Amino acid sequence: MSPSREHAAISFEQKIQSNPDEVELLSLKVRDVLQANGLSQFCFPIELLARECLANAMNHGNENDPEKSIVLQLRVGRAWIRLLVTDEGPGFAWRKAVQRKTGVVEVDGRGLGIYALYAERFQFNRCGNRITIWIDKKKQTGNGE
Amino acid sequence: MAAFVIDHKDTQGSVQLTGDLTAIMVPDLQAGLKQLLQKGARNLVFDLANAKMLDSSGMGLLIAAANSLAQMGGKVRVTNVSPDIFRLLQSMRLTLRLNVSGREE
Repeated sequence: MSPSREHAAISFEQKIQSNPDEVELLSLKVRDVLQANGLSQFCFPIELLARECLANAMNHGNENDPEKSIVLQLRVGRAWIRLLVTDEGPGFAWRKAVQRKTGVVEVDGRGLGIYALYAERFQFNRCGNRITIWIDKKKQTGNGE
Repeated sequence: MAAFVIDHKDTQGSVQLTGDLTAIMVPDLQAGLKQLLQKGARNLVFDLANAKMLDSSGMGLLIAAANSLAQMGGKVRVTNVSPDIFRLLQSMRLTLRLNVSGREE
């Protein structure tokens, strides 16, 4: 079943202000939600993806403006997990960013590499202020190859 | 309360993380590392035995430390990482650069 048609067994949504403390608390909340629903095996990749999305939304999207907000949605279905993060910024040049290669001595620029590592698919909206990430549960647990 | 303990003897420094190494703690840890280098530490061990999570900001801090120490003839070691963190660092091609070792069974 395609991820967009699948019924969500778990649906979680939270809106935060764009600051590091709230990003940290929401990231830990994602961990708690997964653990509370017997999904501990997905905690590391999903929490990490959430952290990277939230950090990008805060730093690049909302440009560290604490008056702006970020919305995170997490939906867990039978086969798929979908993470959606929206900020209030003007967007960014994601087409250019996804082509960038990060060397081992570079301090920044690994967020998109992390998306590619754990996500089956990720997609920005046209302007780049909303990202949707799909994670294949079978592949994350090593049963889907 | 700081989520890390820093120790130092001669050129050897150690950083014991008491939790995750993520963006929220990077500014405080950066300041601590700066002091450590000013005191003469040239080889640094980061113990991640208590860390369940490492994000790209935490990775950036480790790489920045490795870059600074490499210029001074020193190096970084990252020890006791979880299997999830080891896989992440391996996929980012950082295990050699950061001298990463996993937790003992």
